[in-house]
Amino acid sequence: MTWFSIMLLLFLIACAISVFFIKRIMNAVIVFMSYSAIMAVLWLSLESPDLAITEAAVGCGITTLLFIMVLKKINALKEEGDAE
Amino acid sequence: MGNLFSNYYELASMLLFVVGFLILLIQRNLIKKIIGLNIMDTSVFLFLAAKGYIAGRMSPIIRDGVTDASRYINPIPSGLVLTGIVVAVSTTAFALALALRWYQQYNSLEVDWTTLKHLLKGEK
Amino acid sequence: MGIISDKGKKTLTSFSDWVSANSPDIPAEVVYPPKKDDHGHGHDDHGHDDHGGHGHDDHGHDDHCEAAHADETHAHEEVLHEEPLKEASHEEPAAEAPQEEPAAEAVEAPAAEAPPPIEAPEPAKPEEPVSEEAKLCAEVGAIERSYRAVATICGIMLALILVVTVALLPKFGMANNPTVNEVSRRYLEEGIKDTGAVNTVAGMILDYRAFDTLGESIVLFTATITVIFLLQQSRRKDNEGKIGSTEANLSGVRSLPAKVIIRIALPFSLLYGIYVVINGHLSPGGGFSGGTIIGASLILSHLAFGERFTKRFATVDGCSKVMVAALLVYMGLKTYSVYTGANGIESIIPLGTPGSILSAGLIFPLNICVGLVVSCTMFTLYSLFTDWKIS
Repeated sequence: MTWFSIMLLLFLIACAISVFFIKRIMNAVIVFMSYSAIMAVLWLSLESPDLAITEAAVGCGITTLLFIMVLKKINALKEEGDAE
Repeated sequence: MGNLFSNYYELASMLLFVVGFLILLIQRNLIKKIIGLNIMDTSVFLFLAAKGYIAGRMSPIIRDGVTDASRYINPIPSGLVLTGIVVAVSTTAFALALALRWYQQYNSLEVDWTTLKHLLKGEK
Repeated sequence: MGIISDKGKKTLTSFSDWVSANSPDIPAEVVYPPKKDDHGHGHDDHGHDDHGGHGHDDHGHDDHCEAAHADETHAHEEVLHEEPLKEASHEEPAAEAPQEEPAAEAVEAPAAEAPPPIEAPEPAKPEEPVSEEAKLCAEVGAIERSYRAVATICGIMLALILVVTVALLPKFGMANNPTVNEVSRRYLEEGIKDTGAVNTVAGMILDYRAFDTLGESIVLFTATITVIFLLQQSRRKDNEGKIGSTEANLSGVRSLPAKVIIRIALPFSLLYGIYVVINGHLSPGGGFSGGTIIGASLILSHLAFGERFTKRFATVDGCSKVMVAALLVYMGLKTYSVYTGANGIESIIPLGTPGSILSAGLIFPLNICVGLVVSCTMFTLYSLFTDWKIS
């Protein structure tokens, strides 16, 4: 269990650092979504199921949705698609 | 340096805090800044939750009517973090609304010298 | 780049010429005052449309600034092509503004100095504005680079301090940590007697610390109100024009598989959210998590079936009213609880048998109130962000 947690923590740090270096905002948002999912698993392993449920709904759901709505509003999604 | 690696949750949360802080400071895109703010939030929550954890104990839901405190982990950090997560969402939404207004004004989400120059001009 | 408009460049050169001619002590990079008349034309003119394209490109801007030197001649040629038009349209303001400027700055400024920018010969311009802008760009680039360096150093220092702090903290997961003190012991041992809640966290945040939770709910409410204020203008425009909503907004996503899947998943997620809310005192969850799940289900229905369907049961105004009502009910219930508790009056609300659904006294209705506030917050935020249009 310890090694599992350490692995997840390393994954979290890798996600956070990759948010720093990823250039496309959409990808950064998706990476942040996976970060939140991993965080939910970590809270389950810390015996806090309340936090796990909330984080899974909030971090993966609402926050990501809001980010994507904003990106859609500013047409960043379309332009990124065109840029490729 | 004795407890540095046994406190791996705290260590990771501190590193996450610093990474989020650097994203907040250095990145020029407002969306990325807000993601950095969120990373800082979750790292603080992770730290709090890790401080409440006690190895080998159960989550603080009373099972079978046993109210022995030595069976359960500390419920206080959970309660604090639970409200904190939801408040973090509302601050994120507020920041995103401000970012949209910024985009409406400057047609860009970057905080760079072009927009700063416009700010200086508008300040007069 | 094309940031400084032509008039700005002209007055800028004239002003810096004037400055260097009259008072050599003042450094040449005092360029801010001339921007006044640049602003006078309204900054709508400086359509930096190129920035919409760079909205997603993050590191590009670093090079953007440095590449500006190379691009500048190029960019300026493009600017020159459009020059006659702008020249004609903005003749008068350009003539007026520079005259005000030196007069305000220094009385003894010769009035003859101001006109030259307007009649300045065309070929003279490409050189000097470019150098000014390049200088400014280089300055800002240097500032930004040093800022980045300082920020990185600060971050590393912070990391070192925090890591040393972590090394000095008590060991992780031990039962004798100072955080595990008599407060948590009291919550765990007496909580079920005091509050009747099996879930100690729910008992804690809705009974012992219910005032704190009220504050959190009000924070959510305030955030919603603030976002409404921030994004209100275009909302009103939409209502007036009746054309704000696109077809996709009105009737949901086009993709059939997505619609089918959401149609199947929606009742379950809604039911799960309601379960989590009303079982908040028995199982993990409660108003905050369940409310978020309910809000996510509402958002899902909005995504799948569009505004026409969702506005039957959830609108922004309706959600605001529900939030206010839920907060008032919360306040009323807790006022009763605090009043009876402070005066030693026996509360008429029974605690019930721990473990059954109608137990734990006030925690059950308070959970529902918090769940309503949170779900309405989530849905309101989403629909505000959806309805907003860049004007």
